[in-house]
Amino acid sequence: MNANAKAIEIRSLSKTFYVGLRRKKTVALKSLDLEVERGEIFGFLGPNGAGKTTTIKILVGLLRPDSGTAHLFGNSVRGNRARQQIAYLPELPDFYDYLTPGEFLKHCGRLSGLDYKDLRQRIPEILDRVGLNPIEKRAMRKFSKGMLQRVGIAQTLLADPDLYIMDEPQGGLDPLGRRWVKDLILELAQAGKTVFFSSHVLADAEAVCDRVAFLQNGQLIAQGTLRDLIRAQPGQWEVMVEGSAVLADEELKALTQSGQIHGENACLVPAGDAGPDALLPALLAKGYRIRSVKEHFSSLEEIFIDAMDNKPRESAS
Amino acid sequence: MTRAIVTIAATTFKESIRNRTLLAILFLALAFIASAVVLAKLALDQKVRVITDWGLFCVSAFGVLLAILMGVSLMQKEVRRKTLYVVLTRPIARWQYVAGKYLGLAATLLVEVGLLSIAMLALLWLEGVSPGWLVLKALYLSMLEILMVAAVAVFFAAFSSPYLSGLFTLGIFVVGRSVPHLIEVIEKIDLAVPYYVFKSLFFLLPDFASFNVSTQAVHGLDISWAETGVLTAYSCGYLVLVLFFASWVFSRRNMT
Repeated sequence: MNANAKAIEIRSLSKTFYVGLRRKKTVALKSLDLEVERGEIFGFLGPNGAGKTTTIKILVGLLRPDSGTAHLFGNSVRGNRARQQIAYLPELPDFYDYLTPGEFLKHCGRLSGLDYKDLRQRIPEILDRVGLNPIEKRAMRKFSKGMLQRVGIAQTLLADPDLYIMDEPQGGLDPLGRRWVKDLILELAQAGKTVFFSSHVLADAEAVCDRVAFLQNGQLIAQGTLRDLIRAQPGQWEVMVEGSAVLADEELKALTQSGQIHGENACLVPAGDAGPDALLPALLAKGYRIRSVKEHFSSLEEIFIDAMDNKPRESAS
Repeated sequence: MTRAIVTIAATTFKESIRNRTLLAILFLALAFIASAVVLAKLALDQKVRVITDWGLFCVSAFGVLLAILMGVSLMQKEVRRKTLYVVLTRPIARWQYVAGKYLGLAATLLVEVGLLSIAMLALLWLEGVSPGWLVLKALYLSMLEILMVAAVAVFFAAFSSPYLSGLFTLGIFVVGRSVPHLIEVIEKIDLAVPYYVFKSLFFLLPDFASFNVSTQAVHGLDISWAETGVLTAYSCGYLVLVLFFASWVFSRRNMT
């Protein structure tokens, strides 16, 4: 492993599919450039059909790009060395019908080069860690989607690789399961692992990612740290005032952009770019009691929707 | 290198041998073989011949059916369900996957066709006949033919859909069984295309007809050890070649 190499380095990656008998051209990736640092949790976000899975499949060696290069820790994704350092979770996987999770993990572990002695110890531990019975004797055809997702995550943990590439890791899971995956990703990052995952559920990414990239129609339209992306948009101030009488105050209307009842209080949004500087003294002068003043930044979802409207944004990262 | 092949073969064997659909086909085949007892009663003094003929037919027909079904579905099922993705993204070569898959399939077929053969031999023993080398050779050659069919099925499954793979394999099997008849036909009729073109084409096709020796076995016509040896070498060479091309195609395949 090259000690200075990035965990993931993608340069000018392009991929086009020709679908059906008429060979209809579908451009999946257009000259994609992307870098992921070691130890990062990186969210690869975009709507369905944006090219997330195509990128991931190229990274793990399942697809060949038409042009461009992709390296994992400095090793080309076309070679076996790159695959020695990764674990991959496909989107909504389904495994062997007639094998138990233990048998399946043994199969995966042997293919990753682990010996029987290690596997005998690790498999029950990992099954327990993902919330499955360590001595589960049921065949996997009797498993729910959520249980299969847990088996899928278990197989990624087996060889303790440096890079986890996960395609929609929270797919098929209930809220508790989603929370568990979030915690697991944070645990992996704390252990110094790099986690690269795709998702179209932005709240999931917002909760764990160090950096994110938005992909649309095979092109990167925004990337950066969450803080940078969020700060790149001016925040919106909210002033919470006790009671609702303030909403009827004609003198204050010039200083507010909007106002609405919020429980027993009124929530005012100051007018202009100056924030609450003009509004606050006016409120105090009129004897209104201010409960709180806060700057409200866009959520990742708002930034995502904004980015989808073709407004490229690159933050310092 | 060997570890990956053995691991994939062992998993394929476990998964196939526990497959309920395939087990149902196996039980149906056993029932068909057992029905030889009823047919033999109708044949009066030809009981042994009927059991041998019907038994060899059932072993071959159900063996080929199982080979095609398993051969075309094993890989495609793994692609469709993304099981293959977690296998191929580990540090193994794709040819190792194809080799492991085929060996697992071959082991399953050996067990299942072996059971059918034992059932047929048991019927002969119940009739008080000790099956000689001739019947054993016929069963052995039938097994070789089934293993070749499985290799052809794996080859087609490496790049096409299960339905097309099944059709192609069945087509190759039917043509392969008819090669001598087709050669006879083209020798007798005047064709615009030169004879050697057809002859070369037939050379590329597996000569399954030579492995079908049930007529000799039923009528007690000897199959020499030399002939058995040549057919063994031919089948091994053919399936290695077919698996080589299957691996070559599969290595270039995009997993979309």
